[in-house]
Amino acid sequence: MMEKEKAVGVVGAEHVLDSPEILKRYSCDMSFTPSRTPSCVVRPNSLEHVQALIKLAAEANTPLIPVSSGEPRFRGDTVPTLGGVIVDMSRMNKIRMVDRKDRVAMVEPGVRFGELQTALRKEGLRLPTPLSPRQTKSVVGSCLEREPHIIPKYHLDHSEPLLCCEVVFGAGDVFRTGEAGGPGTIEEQQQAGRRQKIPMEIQMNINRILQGSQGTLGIVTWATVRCEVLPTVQKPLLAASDSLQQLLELAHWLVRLRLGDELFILNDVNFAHLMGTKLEMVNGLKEELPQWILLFCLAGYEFLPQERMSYQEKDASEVAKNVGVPLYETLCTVSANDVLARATSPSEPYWKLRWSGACQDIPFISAFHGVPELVGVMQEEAAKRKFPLSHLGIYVQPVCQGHGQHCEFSLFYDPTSPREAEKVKELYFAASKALMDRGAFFSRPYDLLSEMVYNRDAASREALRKLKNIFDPKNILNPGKLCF
Amino acid sequence: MNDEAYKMFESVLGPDNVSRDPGLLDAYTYQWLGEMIGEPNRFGPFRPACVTLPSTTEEVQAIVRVCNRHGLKFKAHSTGWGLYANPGEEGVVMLDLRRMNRLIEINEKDMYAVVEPYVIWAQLQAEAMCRGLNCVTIGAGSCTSALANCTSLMGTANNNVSMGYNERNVLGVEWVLPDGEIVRLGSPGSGAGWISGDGPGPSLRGIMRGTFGALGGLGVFTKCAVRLYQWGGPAELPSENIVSMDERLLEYPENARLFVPYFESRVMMEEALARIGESEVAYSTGLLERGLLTLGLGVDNLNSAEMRESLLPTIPKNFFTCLLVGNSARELEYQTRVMNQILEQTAGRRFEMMEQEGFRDIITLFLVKGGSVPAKAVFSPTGSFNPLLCGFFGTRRTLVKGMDDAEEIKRKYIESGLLADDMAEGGWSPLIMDHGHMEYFEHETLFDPHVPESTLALIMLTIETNQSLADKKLMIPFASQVKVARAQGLSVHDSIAAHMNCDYRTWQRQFKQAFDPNDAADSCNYITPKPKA
Ligand SMILES: Cc1cc2nc3c(=O)[nH]c(=O)nc-3n(C[C@H](O)[C@H](O)[C@H](O)COP(=O)(O)OP(=O)(O)OC[C@H]3O[C@@H](n4cnc5c(N)ncnc54)[C@H](O)[C@@H]3O)c2cc1C
Repeated sequence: MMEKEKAVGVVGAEHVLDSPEILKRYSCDMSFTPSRTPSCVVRPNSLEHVQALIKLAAEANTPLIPVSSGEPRFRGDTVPTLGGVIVDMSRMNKIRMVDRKDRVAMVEPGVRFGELQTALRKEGLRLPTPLSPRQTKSVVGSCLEREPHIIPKYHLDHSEPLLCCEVVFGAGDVFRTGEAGGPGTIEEQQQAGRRQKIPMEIQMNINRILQGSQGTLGIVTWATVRCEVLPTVQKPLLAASDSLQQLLELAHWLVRLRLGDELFILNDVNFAHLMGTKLEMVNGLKEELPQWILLFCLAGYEFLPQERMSYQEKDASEVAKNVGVPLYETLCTVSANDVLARATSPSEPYWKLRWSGACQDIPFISAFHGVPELVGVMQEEAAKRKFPLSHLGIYVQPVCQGHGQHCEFSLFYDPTSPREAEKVKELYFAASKALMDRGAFFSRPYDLLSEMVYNRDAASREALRKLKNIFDPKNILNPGKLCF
Repeated sequence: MNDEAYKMFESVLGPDNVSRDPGLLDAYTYQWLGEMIGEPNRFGPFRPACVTLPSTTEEVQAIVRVCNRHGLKFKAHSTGWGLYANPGEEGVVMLDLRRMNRLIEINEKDMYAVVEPYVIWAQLQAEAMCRGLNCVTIGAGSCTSALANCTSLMGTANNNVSMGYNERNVLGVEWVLPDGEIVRLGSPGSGAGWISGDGPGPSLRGIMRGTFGALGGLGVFTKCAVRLYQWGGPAELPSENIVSMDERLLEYPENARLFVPYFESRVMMEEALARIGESEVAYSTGLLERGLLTLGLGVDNLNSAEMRESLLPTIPKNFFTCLLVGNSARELEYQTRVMNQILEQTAGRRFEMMEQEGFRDIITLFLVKGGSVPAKAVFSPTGSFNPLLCGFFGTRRTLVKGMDDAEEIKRKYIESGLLADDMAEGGWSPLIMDHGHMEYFEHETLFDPHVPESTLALIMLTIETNQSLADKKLMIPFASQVKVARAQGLSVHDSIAAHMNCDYRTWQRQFKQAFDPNDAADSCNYITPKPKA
């Protein structure tokens, strides 16, 4: 195990924490991953710190668990499987560059969505953001997890919005991905006018390997992210239906025809949890709302914004008419403007915890036609275990410009009731298995599901183990996660 | 070659689907730009050991396994249009994938098509368009393999502006690794359809390719899902007088409009492009600089020279083409107004001759389909061409630098008389991708492959431009560098890595070692498992 003094030698005593209270906070999260206490928490502040820590860990065979976001954490990916040292990156929280012309920002891992959006707005930019992320969510962390955001037309690929990054691999080497790798140093590149935007190397794309790796291959010290122009006018609209199929059809055409920017579908439960301001309101909404609600937002930018809004609105109305769904500016007293505002800002307290205390998510990717069936599978599994549908949140997000759907079931429950927690745990496993059996693709397998997922794809597991051996041959980075 | 291995190929494929007839083998050594890296002719120095014609993934796997067992190298060949599909050394087994030509599925709701290696863009596009969809047919032309492009090569096309570069236009992939194992990237690996190529966990697309693919150096791709996008034009674009400058659309699509603006300077041109990008109005954009445009317009060189003489004085320097395609009349109207506003702001003027019927139709077809006339224009005048800056990706402040640089350096080579006189204005490119988030430029150079001095001038010019870009800390264009590195007997990556701030070869080489333990896949354009002495 890495000696504490050595870590102190790298980052200073005040940044090596090992009080029991602090260690407890990193020993478990909101998921069902078994808890395990790390030996200490170190808080590096530079590339050199990270390099030195990795070197020490390799020498002492000590697991390092990189963490960028703050609490509450949900997915078990930062709970140490084998103990070890938490590398908390939150001190590295500088926004290193915002460039309006190139629509790009460079951020360190500790930068959160709220801060970045504020800095971007000043320059007339925005970053497409996941659905109301928790306030403590790191931008870099979110990118590395391949979390989808809510503007499908700017979700060019599952790798979005990550562009380039600087990483220290478990093997100890520093690497800069995409065009950030050269020619020249980053400073020289920037002097030449380059902004680290091209995400690919020549014959590889290391970003893609890092994304989804849950800190098992390298520790990222900064990343550039693709930003977009801030709209000058916006008009959000809502559609609602008891038929998911109908809203999926509407979403398909809006995304395909690039009508509107933000777009997502929630079931009544999720919508109520996101928008409720009081418990009565949450319950009232659940009762009154149609089963499914879609939000989309028309926007105008710098060029003829009103004209853009006008043609988009007319074309979108025609699409909605063809699908047979009316559009609303307000639904059950909730205005589309409020939904947009909530969806695009970080939430504190986090909307998934506000009304229930705990939440277990089941995220996966599906083809268009699979979504209603998979929702049915989830509801069946919930019914089998008497899990109330009024606690089942559902989020459907068209991704990759309409090439696929991200689905996320949220099981809201009361963590103070061990019986309820046990029931949810069972449901989480049973439903995940049933969903996989019916074609759900668990592209980001977390914690205890990993084995189930990789048992279905032994060839990928073999290939990934080869990569792990290349980038982290001593298995010091977050060992025990994924198939490593 | 080894008789035992040959017999095994015969038993896997049937004797009709494998050959070692020398006459037939020589055809597989044919390569565009062969003169740059070998003898001054089109036939590369290395005759393959044999040619195999598999028709299924299992057959591909069996061939690859036999190669591994017998210490043979192999290389995949889909449509074989480029420099890279022929053997890089003696004794390579070719897998000619022409029998794998099935378009397996078109999924309209998820907007993708699953294709085998010999499905060409034209075939895919025709099927897509009649469903109101389209694909990113590349500048090489519609006759090339969609799978080879998306998995193994490039992806530059005029409609990159609205539909992206083809590195990102693949979903699920089926891949026979160099050791014969089959891996299915993303959802197909988990039996969950073709909808995603990433995961579970880290994405193996990251070893499949970057701005370029592995060019045959990392196994054989047997199927992939290619993304399709909304197409607001008609189900078909019938035309007459095909493959000539007189090609005419029978009817011009009512939701399309062509703009051909020109500008005082490149800087203003780039400014207009940036605004077009941000406003998200363009469907397809293209640069065809006047020097290149006017070299090969006629049916023969004499005719071309006459046309050039009369046309050239009327063509402005900094112009590009931009096709708008609305999904409704209202959208087209909006796009048109935005274009007009941007041209007003950037002092852009309309090059009306190109927007009128004669040129309009052929340019529109080119911008939508990846037309064949430019290929004729670059091959017919001197017999060959090579793109400088092939693989030069830029962003807002770097495109113009690359363009200026290439023009300046090229001018002195033109003066030497060894290269075709395009006034050092030979640019072709989509200019902007992803609504302006990336930029791309290459500069075509016509040379005479029968005159060694001309080829040498081309090589020297390429070396000089690449060096100049590296000195300016701009991206070194890989496809241009491959040729000159191979001409000099160097490993391409060794010649690039020296300029980089971290040595990417370490990782690429480890991929090669891990996934190709017997060094079976011909990696003359990828990376060798061990550094060259
Ligand atoms: C004149 C000309 C213009 C071009 N313009 C463009 C352009 O504008 N944009 C662009 O993107 N590209 C361009 N190219 C490059 C190239 O031709 C295309 O990208 C094309 O799509 C690939 O088809 P191909 O016939 O070259 O493929 P092939 O020659 O069959 O293959 C290309 C490479 O991929 C490998 N490969 C092929 N199939 C497989 C497979 N199934 N599995 C593994 N490896 C495989 C081959 O070994 C080879 O190295 C151009 C080429 C030429 C000659």
